[in-house]
Amino acid sequence: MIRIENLGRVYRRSRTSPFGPRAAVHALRDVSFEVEAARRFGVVGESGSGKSTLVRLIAGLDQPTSGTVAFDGQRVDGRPERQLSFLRRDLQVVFQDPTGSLDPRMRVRDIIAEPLVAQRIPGQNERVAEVLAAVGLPADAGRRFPHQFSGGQRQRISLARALAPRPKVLVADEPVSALDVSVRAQILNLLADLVDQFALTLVFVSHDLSVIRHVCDTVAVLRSGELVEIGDVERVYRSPEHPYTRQLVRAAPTLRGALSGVTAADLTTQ
Amino acid sequence: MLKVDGLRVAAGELPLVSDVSFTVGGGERVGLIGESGSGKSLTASAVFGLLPDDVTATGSVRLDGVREDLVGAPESVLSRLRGSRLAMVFQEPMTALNPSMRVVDQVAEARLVHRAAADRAVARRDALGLLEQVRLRDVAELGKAYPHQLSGGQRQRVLLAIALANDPDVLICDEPTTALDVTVQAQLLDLIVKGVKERDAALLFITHDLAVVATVCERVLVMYGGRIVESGPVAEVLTAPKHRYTRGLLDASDLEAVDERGRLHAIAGAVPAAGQFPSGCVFRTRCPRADDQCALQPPWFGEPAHGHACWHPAGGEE
Repeated sequence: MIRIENLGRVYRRSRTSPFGPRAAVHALRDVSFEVEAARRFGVVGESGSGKSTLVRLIAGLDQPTSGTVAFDGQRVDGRPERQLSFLRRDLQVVFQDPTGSLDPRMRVRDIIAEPLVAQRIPGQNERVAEVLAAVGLPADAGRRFPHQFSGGQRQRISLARALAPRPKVLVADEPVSALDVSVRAQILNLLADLVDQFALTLVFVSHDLSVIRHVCDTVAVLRSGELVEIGDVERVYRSPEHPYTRQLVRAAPTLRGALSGVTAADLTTQ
Repeated sequence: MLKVDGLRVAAGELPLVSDVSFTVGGGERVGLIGESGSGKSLTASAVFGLLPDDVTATGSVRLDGVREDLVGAPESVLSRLRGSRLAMVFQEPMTALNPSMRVVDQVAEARLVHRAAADRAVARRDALGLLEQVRLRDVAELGKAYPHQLSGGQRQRVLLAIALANDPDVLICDEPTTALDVTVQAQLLDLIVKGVKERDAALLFITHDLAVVATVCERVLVMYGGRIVESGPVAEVLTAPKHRYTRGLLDASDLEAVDERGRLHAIAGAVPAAGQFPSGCVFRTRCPRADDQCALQPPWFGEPAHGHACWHPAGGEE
């Protein structure tokens, strides 16, 4: 479904002195992997690992400096926006911050219909009603504005918008990181329901390996722009091969671990 | 060491925190957990005397060896205590640090203003020692940096160095690691625990993360809707909770416990906005066990340091 080969993205920093060179930041280096259809594919990494750059490249929102991205057999990189309509319909993204990704001046029904309008898909009103129901929002939610909803409900609106054009792939970039624990469980359950119901391929990006372990079947571990480990999520969690993955698993506190005597000092040991 | 009794925080007529009472002894590490809007940060601000202008506190906050009650104490008393006997590490180090001052000078200032160091040179030497204590490398160079030149983890270490500068009796940490990567979080948690242990200081650690609180603290206070709904030793509250909210929070955060369809045990609804919590039990609008009795404010069942405020505690009939 998604094939990435030797993908690289170099950003140029602005000059620090008028005559000095512009420093290069390697956000992504030589990353290759494939996401098969119907997979729930997790990407885990800390800040600066390149996971957001990866999302932007997969979604055709940025151009790589090397390597290729292919979606369903078609190249995504190097194409102008007007040739990306297949991607805009079949791949949808949900971002971390539902407040920042929903236009505060638009009514919810217009937000959800926007991808349909952009792609001139007919039957907008019916589709908006369908996806509102699918994400568990009341039918009258469409008349209201984003600020009238809680954080969890706003993430439901983001999901409804993503589902509206009937995509094949959903890319979720830290979709539950800004949510309270009691609401996080609702949204993770909803996401799992939607993936099953609409037979979606899921790419789930998070800094939290335990969330990825719950949601995904496969995980790729990124560090400083490089892919350090990839495999079955249970295998990676239980017997990580790369030292960095081991450190990541070890450093994350767990309730079970803490109650059986794991201290803060234990989390820092390599 | 720190004794909070009947603390109430209100914005005009709107109560934000009600009936909050707890003590933290010297050398004790107590966690205050709750979701956003539960009132945990307001409680910390009230203890620290840093409430916004239009928000008022009543009740009592006592610190051992201080004659005045910190609630309503004049600013002169509070500013003498803040940063010396009572210290705080905030969540967002970029707003807590002065952006236009070298970090070593900010640590030195903490020594100088409380007259713990005789002069600027001594204070600066102390500051370098403190930066080493929080395991920053090459402190002579790093101390010259401005906050924006440091990483999030480094800034939070500087903030901890400032908080520990005058060997406080009480350290309050308000979500100190929430914005940090897990590997950096682990190091900072370790430094906080070591820092308070070495000084036999009382720690009040505020977080929404159950795993973090269980790692750092011995005792825990669970807040919801501006009230403490349950308290007790970490090992008991987080394994056999009594309050239905604690039970729900534990179930919802356990990513390994799923039902037959592989779904998590979620709590229905969302945390209400401030002032929108129900009368009686604050959790009754989301509680699966709520009935008519819950419309009455539940009393505190059990000891002050180990008890709950629930009419139908969990763990009885199950």
